[in-house]
Amino acid sequence: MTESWRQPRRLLMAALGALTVFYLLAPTLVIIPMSFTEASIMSFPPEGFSLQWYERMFTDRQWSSGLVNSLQVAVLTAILATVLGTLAALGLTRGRFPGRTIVNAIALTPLIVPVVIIAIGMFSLFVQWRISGSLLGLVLAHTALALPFVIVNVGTSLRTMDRNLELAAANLGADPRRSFMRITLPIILPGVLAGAIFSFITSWDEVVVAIFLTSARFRTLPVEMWEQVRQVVDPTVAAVSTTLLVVTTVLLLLLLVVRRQAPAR
Amino acid sequence: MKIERPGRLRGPARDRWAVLVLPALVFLVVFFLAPLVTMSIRSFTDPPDAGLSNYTEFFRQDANLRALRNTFWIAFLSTLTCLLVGYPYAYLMTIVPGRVAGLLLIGVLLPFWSSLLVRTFAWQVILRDTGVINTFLLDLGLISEPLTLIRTTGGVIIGMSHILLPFMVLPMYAVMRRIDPEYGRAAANLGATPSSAFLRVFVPLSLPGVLAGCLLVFVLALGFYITPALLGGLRDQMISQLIVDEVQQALDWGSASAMAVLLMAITFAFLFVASRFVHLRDVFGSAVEE
Amino acid sequence: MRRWTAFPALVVIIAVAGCSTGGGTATGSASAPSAVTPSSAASPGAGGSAATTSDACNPPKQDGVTLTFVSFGGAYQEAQRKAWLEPYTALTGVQFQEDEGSSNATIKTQVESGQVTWDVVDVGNDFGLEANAALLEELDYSLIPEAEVNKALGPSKWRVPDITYGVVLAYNTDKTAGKVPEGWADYFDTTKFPGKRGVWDYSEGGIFEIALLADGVKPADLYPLDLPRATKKLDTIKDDLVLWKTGAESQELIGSGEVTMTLIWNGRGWSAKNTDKKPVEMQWNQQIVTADYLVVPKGSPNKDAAMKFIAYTICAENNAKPSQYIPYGPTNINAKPAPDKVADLSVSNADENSAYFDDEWLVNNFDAVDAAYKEWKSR
Repeated sequence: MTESWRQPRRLLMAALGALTVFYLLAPTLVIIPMSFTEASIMSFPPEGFSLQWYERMFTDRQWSSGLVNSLQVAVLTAILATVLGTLAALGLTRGRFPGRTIVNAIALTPLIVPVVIIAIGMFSLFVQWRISGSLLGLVLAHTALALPFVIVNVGTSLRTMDRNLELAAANLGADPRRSFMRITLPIILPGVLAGAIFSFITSWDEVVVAIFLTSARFRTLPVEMWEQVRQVVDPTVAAVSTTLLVVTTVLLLLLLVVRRQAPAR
Repeated sequence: MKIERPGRLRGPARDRWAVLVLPALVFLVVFFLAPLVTMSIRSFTDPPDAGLSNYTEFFRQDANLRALRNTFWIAFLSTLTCLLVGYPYAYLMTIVPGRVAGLLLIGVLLPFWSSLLVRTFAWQVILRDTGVINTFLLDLGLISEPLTLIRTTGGVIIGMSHILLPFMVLPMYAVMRRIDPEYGRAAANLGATPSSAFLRVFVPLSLPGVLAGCLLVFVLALGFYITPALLGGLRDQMISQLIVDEVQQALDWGSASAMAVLLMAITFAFLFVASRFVHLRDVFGSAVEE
Repeated sequence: MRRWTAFPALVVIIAVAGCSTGGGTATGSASAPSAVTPSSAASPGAGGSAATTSDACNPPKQDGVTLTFVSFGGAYQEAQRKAWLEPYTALTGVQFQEDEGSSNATIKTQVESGQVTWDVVDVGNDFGLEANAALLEELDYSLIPEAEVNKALGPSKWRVPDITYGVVLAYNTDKTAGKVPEGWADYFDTTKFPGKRGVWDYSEGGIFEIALLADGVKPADLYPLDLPRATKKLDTIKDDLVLWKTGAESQELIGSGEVTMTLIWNGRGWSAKNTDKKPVEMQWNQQIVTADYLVVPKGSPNKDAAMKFIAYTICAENNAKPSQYIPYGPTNINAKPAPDKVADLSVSNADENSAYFDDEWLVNNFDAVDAAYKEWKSR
């Protein structure tokens, strides 16, 4: 017998669902075709088909340097956040020390504090430390923003893994480090990778902190976009947007694949 | 050979684990907390004898109070919109077969992880006077003058709700899918109609998720900057825009810091109240895990 | 970054003799560069020997020096680069590092944190007066040909005007359908000219001035600004106003027809018409003639070299060179702008209806003006 509340007006629900999906995806789907327009201004539907705006992204000095900078910052952020975050996750899940709850809370604060506040706070202090407007400053800032993602994802993996495996390894004579490298790490690898990918995406798309921590000489792609976005006319912005989207989507799909292939526990 | 027994995680082992936390902790303290703290201090010390003057000055100006009111109002409207749109969607995800549910989930996750700037930009392109909607309607002859969709409160809500919807759906879904269908069967056995069972059994059970979602969306909406800046009109200015203007245009760090502290205080106040009803860790955790 | 943002200072200043005489009138003819007649003496920082044009125009060789030059990017900075920076490098061997995001906030941050990397900065008309003295080096007027600088533009000990431009009314001819707006009164007439209106989102960018001009106030009577009257006038078209933040935005808004008319900087209007090939025209009647200024942040590591460079840009031979590339005019009364751009210069189109910003009054009263602007915006 079917559950009583599973018999709603199916069509209505399906229609609502489809409409919502449309609402969720439509805006980005509008941008993608626009990036291929032949005309020199953005229009929908686009006129003709041309890859010139993607070319422009690589040939125009400002856009191409923005692209390179974004990649650099995102990769470095992913690495730094993953390392720090994985260690922290280990400490938080395995350790028993006073103040663990507080540390846990601190780890999540970057998600809670409005990003515009984080941005101006960092701007003010980083200028004094002479790291504003540089690769280093932005990587440090983005790492702080990305840490919660790593800590939570790796933490979940750690919590749900079977501790007996580690014990078995210990019983067989492995010291903690060896046990970690050969037993724990492979098992939590999906969580670590997820954290790394989320860190990358967070940095890759991040705009508000970047607005304050970049300079004319060192600028990321989202900041270039922000400068241009009010004019809404240059199709290069659409090409850049599509590129941002594609990279994010590919990484997410990669993540889904990785998750699916997670070793059985 | 050393035999480690379960439970023997005291002494050196405990210290070892705790030490691993230090790098990240120090990092956050130095590069995340320190900026916030120094900024808060600055709200009282810039200009040097400011004391509380930045704060009193803030409340003295009408424009600031209106911005405060706008911030709450827009956050509230966004939360309401997300709730109205997101609840059916989350519910739908629980009743469709697994594969479709997976697709619906991706439908929510993809935009969730897409750049906020790109999505806001897209809405700008769609809503403006010479944008997609207006060109479409004008070409069809349905209207003779462009509709003003952008630079309105409605435009901001559309954009913000679009971006915040996943934050509403994910916590709600996480709770909803754990609701045991047995309850439904039990209700039917007791003579309840489908809609009655839905309203009197399902909905109350889904409330923790609803609360979590609403809280998350509201708190995030308070601090939005990009979307209201691009889609909003004169009368829709939110606190975040005031803060940025103080820094970039008026160069008034004291004033900007005071506003930032106020916004933080409001945010934390909401979270504190909410923590009585939901586990914050679950709320934010669901937004952070896949 | 094509930002035309001018950032005001916040401290009360002592009145400095300068352009508070209401700007005077311009005797502009098509061929001669503008001569806005100032009262003769009023020269800021009167110390030092009078510099001759030839001194400033012949700077010494300075190999191994690198100057950081900051302006507003885009076509404007490109013009300055071609007109001044590149020839200067060829002449003296000085190398230039450029930054495109001129911002008073950044100057303030640099000076206050003690690490100044900017040497020569192009700023808007709201900066460089006594209120900002703590942030700026005093300019070396023994090098700059002081007597030749157009006094009506309000030079001071800390700033010297380097180009002039106009805040004008631009209109999209497709949207105005043949009718020509005669002045700011038509900007406020949405019955005769339906459609949206663009304006710079900045309290001291001209929004109050154009409201008063539209309401019948004569240019000489603009200051002190009657803020209640201006905001009341602005309320009549508030729902049709589109606020822009950058020059490029203004260019796009008027070019695409998203707005029927806009307040715009004449170079941007010119670009919309001639570069973007859009149906845009400008109305010079009731323009506000203003200027950009060069300043040196206090603590600049290359102060002496900066002063020499600034003098070079002001000397009569060089001052008008940017006009070869964009229709922005010289500030040296002896400088001759490019003949093909003369008709498009703000100063060439200045007449008795043109208005001038009262920079001192604006800086003095920034708090009040800004508060009124914020209040009006939000109500």
